[in-house]
Amino acid sequence: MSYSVRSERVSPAEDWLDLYRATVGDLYGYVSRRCGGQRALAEDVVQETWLRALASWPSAGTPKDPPAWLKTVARNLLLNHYRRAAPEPLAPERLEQLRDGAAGSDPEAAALLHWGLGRLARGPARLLEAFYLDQRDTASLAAELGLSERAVEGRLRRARLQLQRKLAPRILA
Amino acid sequence: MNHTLSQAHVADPDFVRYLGWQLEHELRRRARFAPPPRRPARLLAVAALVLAGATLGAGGMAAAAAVQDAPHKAVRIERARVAAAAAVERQRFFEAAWQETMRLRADAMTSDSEVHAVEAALGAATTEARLRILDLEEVEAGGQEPSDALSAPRVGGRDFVGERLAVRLADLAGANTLLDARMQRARELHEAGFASAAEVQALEQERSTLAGSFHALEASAGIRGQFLAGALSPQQAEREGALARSLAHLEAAAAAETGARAALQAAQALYAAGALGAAELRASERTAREAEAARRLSELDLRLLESLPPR
Repeated sequence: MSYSVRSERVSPAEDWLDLYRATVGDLYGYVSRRCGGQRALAEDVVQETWLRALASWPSAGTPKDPPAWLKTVARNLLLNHYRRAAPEPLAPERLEQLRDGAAGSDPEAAALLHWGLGRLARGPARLLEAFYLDQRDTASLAAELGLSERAVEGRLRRARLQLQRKLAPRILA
Repeated sequence: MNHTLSQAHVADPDFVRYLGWQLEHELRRRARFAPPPRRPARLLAVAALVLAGATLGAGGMAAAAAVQDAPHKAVRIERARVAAAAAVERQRFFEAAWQETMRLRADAMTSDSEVHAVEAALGAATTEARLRILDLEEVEAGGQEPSDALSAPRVGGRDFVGERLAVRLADLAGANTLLDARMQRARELHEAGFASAAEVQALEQERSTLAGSFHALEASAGIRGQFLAGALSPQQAEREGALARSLAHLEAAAAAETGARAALQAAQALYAAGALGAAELRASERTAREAEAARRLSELDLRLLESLPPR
């Protein structure tokens, strides 16, 4: 999908609303998949994200890629939200299901995953997000990062180990 | 991903309509409530008249020179009258907007943040109108440009400097009340995880700056009273006023430094936990260093003023 975004500092109301209508569904899905489908939380995050755009864009200028900006803000809001409360411990097999998209339908798994991601460095966290939450495969990640699939697999392996160490206290024995 | 799971991640149409309505409402409100125009600096106003004179030819130049060289009461009164009328019109516009917002609130059709924004706009417009009316009354009474100098004489038996200080103090008190409401909202968002500690700190910083401005105005009002009572010479009044303003700058800079240090500590903790990048940590370090430098500059400015011999 392409977006026609004006480059001046203040967008007219109609431009804003067109952009909102064109992107709100995608943004909601992005957030909902990351919070286990919790509707109230997803709606709060989407609403707060757009209010932040209203607070920021008129003075700082409309970003070149508004959907990417919105997703980044929504992602940070979710990480902030999950960083605050220690999640309930999970059985190991439920964590294993994350790879199959469990975080998209399991609020507890989503909370635990984000809690762990919030404690990782940015690089590994983004890689795991793409793998667990966006269901990206190693081939597409390799193409995006300009690496071989083997290199991506190695990075993923190391990132998963880091995540497991962070999550260890929250996994039931 | 199966169909059921996809459906689970589709936004509720009612939510989409409601948020769209909220955004549209907020955009319209912002378009209406642009910041009020401020009184232009008097030197700039004279420069504008000189420039206008240049475009009007020799006759215009002579008129501009007259403005510079001698009182030109009729022109000054007319100018002050136009500025006051514009400010009053703007105040009436915001009064109407405020009443409309109150009606919407009664029907639960508007948010608290919108009410706060309208109240802030009305407060600023009311202050501006009162100041411009005082300007007009001063020009009418004395024929001179209004002066905010603490050593300015009474005009027509009235203390216009003190009256304007009182208006500004009332304005800051109102702004402080509105800031309290914004801080309450920010704290609620912070509790829910939707606002960072840095955002709450930024508002606390704003409150510190506001408090500093309030104290400086209070001090100025006190100095003005002493001057009118004959306890201070004009030079002493101006010096005391400059010291009060400098002290307020220092207080605000010290509060900013404290906030920046707290933000840096929080950033260091997040960085140690792997939840913050090195670039963000460096940005916090730079902010803290800049805040420290600003505080030191304010200290030195104050020391310089204190070291000047009283005249």
